Amino acid sequence: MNETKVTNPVNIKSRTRVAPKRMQQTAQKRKGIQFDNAAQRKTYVGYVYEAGTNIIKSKILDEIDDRFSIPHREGDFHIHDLEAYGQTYNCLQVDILQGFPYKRFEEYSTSRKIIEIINHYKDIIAKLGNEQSGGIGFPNFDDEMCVLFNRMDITVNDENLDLLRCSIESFVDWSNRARERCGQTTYYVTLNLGLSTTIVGRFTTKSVIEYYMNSPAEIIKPNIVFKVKKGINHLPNDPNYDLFCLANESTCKKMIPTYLLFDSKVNSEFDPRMVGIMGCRTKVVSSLFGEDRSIGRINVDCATLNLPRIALKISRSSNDLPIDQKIMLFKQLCKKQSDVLCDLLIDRYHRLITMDKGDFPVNCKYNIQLTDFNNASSLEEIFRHGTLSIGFIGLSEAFEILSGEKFYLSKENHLLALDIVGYMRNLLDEYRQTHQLNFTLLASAGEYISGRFPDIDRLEFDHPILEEEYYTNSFHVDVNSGLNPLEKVRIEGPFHELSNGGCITYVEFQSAPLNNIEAIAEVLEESVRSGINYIGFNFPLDSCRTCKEVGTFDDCPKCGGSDIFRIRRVSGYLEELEYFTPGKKAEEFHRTPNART
Amino acid sequence: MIRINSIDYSGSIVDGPGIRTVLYVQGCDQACPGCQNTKTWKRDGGTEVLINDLVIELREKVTNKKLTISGGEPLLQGDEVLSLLDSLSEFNVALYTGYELENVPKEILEKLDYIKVGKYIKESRSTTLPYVGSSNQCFLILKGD
Repeated sequence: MNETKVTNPVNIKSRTRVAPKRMQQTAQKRKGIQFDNAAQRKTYVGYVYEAGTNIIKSKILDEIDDRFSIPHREGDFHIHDLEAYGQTYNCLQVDILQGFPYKRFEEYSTSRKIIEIINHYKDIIAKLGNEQSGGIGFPNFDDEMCVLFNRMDITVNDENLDLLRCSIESFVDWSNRARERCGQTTYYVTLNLGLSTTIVGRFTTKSVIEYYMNSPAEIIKPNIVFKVKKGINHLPNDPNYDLFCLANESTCKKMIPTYLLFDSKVNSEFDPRMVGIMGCRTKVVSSLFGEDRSIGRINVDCATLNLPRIALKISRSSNDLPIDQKIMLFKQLCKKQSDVLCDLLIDRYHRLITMDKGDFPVNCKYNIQLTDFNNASSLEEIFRHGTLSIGFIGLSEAFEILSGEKFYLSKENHLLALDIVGYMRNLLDEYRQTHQLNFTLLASAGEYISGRFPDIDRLEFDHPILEEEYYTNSFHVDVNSGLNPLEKVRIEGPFHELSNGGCITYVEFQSAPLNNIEAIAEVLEESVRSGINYIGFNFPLDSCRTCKEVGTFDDCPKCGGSDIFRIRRVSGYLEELEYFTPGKKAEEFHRTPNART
Repeated sequence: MIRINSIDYSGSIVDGPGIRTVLYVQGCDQACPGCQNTKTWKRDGGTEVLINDLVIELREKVTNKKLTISGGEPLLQGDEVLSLLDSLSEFNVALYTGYELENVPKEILEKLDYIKVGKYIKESRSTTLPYVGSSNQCFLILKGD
């Protein structure tokens, strides 16, 4: 999901707290085009592209049913990647092996083959970025390397492995430098790895993580997801346990990798080699039309419900009712809007499948989806394997508006909050059965809407909750909850089982956990017990552009410099704080560690 | 009875390996310049609690059984700390002291998993070495797995 908007239409209320210097520094640079996600960059061509995007968005809103456009405009829900409505799908876990151009490689020398394997990845990424709206995932990057070595009879020796390592390092650098879509955004690429126990597979995982871990702070792409499974890499006697420890060490330094946990109840039924996740959290696994797998499957489209707005409406009309009745009303309104979203996602899907196969040239040429583009009789045959997701934002605020309490501070409230999300999941399951399409419940990333929704709601409602400039992500506890990491994963774990379209839990540290890999491992262990599906560790990572000192600081403690490169995680990916959306910038300001440093 | 300043259950990641609860013992005679915890210096400050009550609370709240005893200077109440360690034998415990290793009583040392020794020296402040505040200090592993 990549979104843009030229200006921020609503003035943000003034803060009562004084922003730290880093906020002031970044605020000064926020002018001109205001983007909807942090990966975007200002360029002349980008400006033209964005202007076009906004015209298309308006046109689509004028064109689609009022039932869809009015609530989107009024902030009841948000249609993500609106400019792509009916034009393309969101994101894909690429099946690179199925249509790999082995024939072309036959004429290459061994060295050239290795170099060209990585070039092929770059080629796919660069071109695919132009024919879909969202991220690009590779579900088993380590194993893919091993299979390609085998199939092309590349000898596994030191020389060839060294060339593979150099190619991977060059690939990582390229991911940070390259800009797609007229140069205005970095690629949303995710490499899933950690399970391959082959020599080449292990070497690939080691090379990616070691290079990433030891590279300068500015290297923040691609996103790396370490797949954790007992018997393969999670226990001390497992063959890839050393790689798990290396991953933990890297996380301590650079917040990467994040972790996809296959021993958690919610993932334990899946074959880990068939499943990958997008860095943002989007997960595509269960299917009405075949086996559970992510490989070669897409998320077609998604839209997100503004839960606090529903609660604000109920609070305005029925604030004196007891909590259980308010929750009942909440569910009713939730259903009403979800029903509209269901129709909207189907409308979008139907428009998409009337496109031509030729509109997806890379998909056609390299056969990277589950169904062969060239043999399929229709786009429907291909895209029906994708998911249609309804997401949500601000469970925390919604619950507080309804009850006056935080959902995570008592068992009773926690159960009520789970009941609300469980209700939404049931709705999605009903849509799935009724319409025979892969509907899923998404704990939305909501990078842009975290600020857009409260801005809109403030125009219509007056509630203390709106004093903050952002809504809390999906089912997350407040970013300043004060819960310790183990408590946080216990509270958020049960929501992972419900959010089958994807979700992430973050643990926030005050600064880098300086080689405390036991802390990472311990949180992961507790996460498995608590049912967490996917987790990331965050801490403020600042790097002095003058002397390269790394740490957490306003001015550089070494040289006193004030030109600081600040890395934070947003919507699953690491980005420069300077480019955060207003909502996410405000949220970052309030982030309070779940562990003291 | 042991005199304590506070217990931090927020889960520290810089006071020893893992996610740790930190017990701040009251009273310190080191007076290191730049100390981050000067409110623990006064020997008659803080609160006196029954060791047994403290043990009950820690057992209930510290679900991962990882505790760091810091301060203040815990060894000013060496007998009480020893008694606490005896009662919490199932815990993984780190002790943060300003004393040098040779001045730590042997009977305490043998009950610890980790120890941080040495005074805090402001001029040697480090933000990159794990588990210590200044580069002269040492964080030692006392028990293997």
